[in-house]
Amino acid sequence: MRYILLLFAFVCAFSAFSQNKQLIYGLEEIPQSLLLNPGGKVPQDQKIHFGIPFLSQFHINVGSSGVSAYDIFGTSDVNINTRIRNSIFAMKNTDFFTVTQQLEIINFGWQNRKKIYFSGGMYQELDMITYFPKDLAILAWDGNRDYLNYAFDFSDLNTSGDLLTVFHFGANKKINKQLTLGARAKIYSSIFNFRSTNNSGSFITRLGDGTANIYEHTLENANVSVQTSGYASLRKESENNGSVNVQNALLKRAFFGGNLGVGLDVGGTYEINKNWTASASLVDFGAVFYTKDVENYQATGDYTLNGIELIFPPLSNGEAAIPYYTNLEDEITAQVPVDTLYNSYTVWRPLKMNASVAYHFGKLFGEEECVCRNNGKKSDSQSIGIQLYSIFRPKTPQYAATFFYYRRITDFLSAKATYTVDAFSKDNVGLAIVGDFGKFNMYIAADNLLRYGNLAKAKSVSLQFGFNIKIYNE
Amino acid sequence: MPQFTLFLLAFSFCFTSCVKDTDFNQADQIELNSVVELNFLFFTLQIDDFKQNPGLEGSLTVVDTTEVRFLNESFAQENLWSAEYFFRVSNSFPIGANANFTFLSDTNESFYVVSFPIQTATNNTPVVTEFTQVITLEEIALLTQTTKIVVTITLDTLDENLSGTMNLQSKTTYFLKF
Repeated sequence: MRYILLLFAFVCAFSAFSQNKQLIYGLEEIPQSLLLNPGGKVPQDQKIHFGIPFLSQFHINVGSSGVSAYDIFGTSDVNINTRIRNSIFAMKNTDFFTVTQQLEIINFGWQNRKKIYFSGGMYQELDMITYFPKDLAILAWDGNRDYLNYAFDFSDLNTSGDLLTVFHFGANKKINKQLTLGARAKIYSSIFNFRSTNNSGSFITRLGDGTANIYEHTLENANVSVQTSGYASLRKESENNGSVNVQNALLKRAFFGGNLGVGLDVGGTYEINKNWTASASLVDFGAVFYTKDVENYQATGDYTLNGIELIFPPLSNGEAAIPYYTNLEDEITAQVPVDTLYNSYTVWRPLKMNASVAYHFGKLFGEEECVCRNNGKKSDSQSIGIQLYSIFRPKTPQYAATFFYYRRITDFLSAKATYTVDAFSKDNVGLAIVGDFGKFNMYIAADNLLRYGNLAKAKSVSLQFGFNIKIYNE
Repeated sequence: MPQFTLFLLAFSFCFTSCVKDTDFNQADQIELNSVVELNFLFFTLQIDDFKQNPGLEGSLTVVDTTEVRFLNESFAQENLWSAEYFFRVSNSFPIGANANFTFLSDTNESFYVVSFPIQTATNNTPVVTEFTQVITLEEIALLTQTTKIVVTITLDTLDENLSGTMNLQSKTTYFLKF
């Protein structure tokens, strides 16, 4: 338990609003922005890009909406156990912990003669979310003695996780002077999945009144299930061989050897006038179909535990006593059976929605009439705007709103600063910097800079960086 | 390339955060102190259930045994630091009685005994006896070797036509420390 809490602390220490990449969205200097909006603007003179394999995008964020590492492990006169207990009661069952990590393996793109910009690639993604199981945490921390007649709700148990690779290919086309549209098809190759999201029922301890024993411990309408894919084969291999070659198994699944899914991203950008631009995108509209290596567990039923009733049977010498304890176990198993099921299931990908409105103005430092990277037109080197983000999660959608300021500082350097309000904080300041050094493109984006002095106090920090090669038309 | 140097400086800044004013060694002090209450044994006895017992002259007895396997599991052995057994007996037999709970190991070795007198009823009006046995940290190691419990109820009479009823309810409070 101690180690779980320590792990939890590190999770809190490096936390973020999962999957929101507000710093990268709309930043056309970064080819990976097309993964957030396939209809985003692509520099008109960009002919080809390709990412440095395994280094073109690394993204990590781990999130905790309810508590920071400092809340638990901060130096304080208050005993740590008191602080943990206070946190358990302060958090809600809608607070959540998330882990999202992406590693781009390959990324490439090119513009054809019809000015359609194609892009594709492959990335690996880990995405997990666990809602704070408040009732179960209270039961574990305090026990049931002081909670007579309180229904500990099993629906608080809500967790899911995916490890998969994504193969994608998309097209982006400037339809007319104002409108750019894009779409991206995706194939998901699942490596591992678990899901326990639709649980119900409760556990109640009532003081008996005219009942068989002092209490009634009741499981009411219990329906708790866990769906897994990719776990059973590893377990069986381990049981049969004493060890398991995880690397081989996972690699095979990463390249279409496991369960597959399909998805679609769509998006567009509309230049309302010279200064105003609006954009929007839907990302990961799709599902993974789990048909292979599936093993699900489900416990359902109602049961009231009164204890062990002795009946004092007249026994002759040598006759075995009644197996009360075994009978009790059998009774519970019969009333609340735990079934192992092998039925297929489908998991929708967490659909993400982005939208933004931006106002463009200004010019580059020292800029005169012509900026050759903007097709000879005078460029707007600055913009301000707002972005909205939402992601569908098992309990409720999560939202974030971002105010941003973008500045193309020089011909080779751009920056974007953001101020984001989300479930984690109301003062998340981030900064992205993009550098184009000849054909070499580098970017880095970091969140929650106000907490950089002490990350333990942060509930949200994320980091993204990558390296690409971009080739422009001569 | 000064611009590249400039970028690298900005790049480096993103990796220069720190965690301070925290002490992760406090993890060693984390303790869950959970108090779990569970029903234990219950039964109702009539005079017909009692028999003469050659080993207990001058009394009628009933004896039964049940397994309680969870007590000797590693979870209990590692985390249980105290326990309380609470018994409530409603007795309408007009004679003295005694309850005895003997905790045995797999090899029938007696490790712990809980025993208490049951109050006598008058005019067959049920009298309630409540008894609590606290098992301290020093004694808990004995309890966690238990795999079965022998329950013996003794009536201080040989009158097999005595009228009355005895009902026992019980619960256990487990004090767990993780």
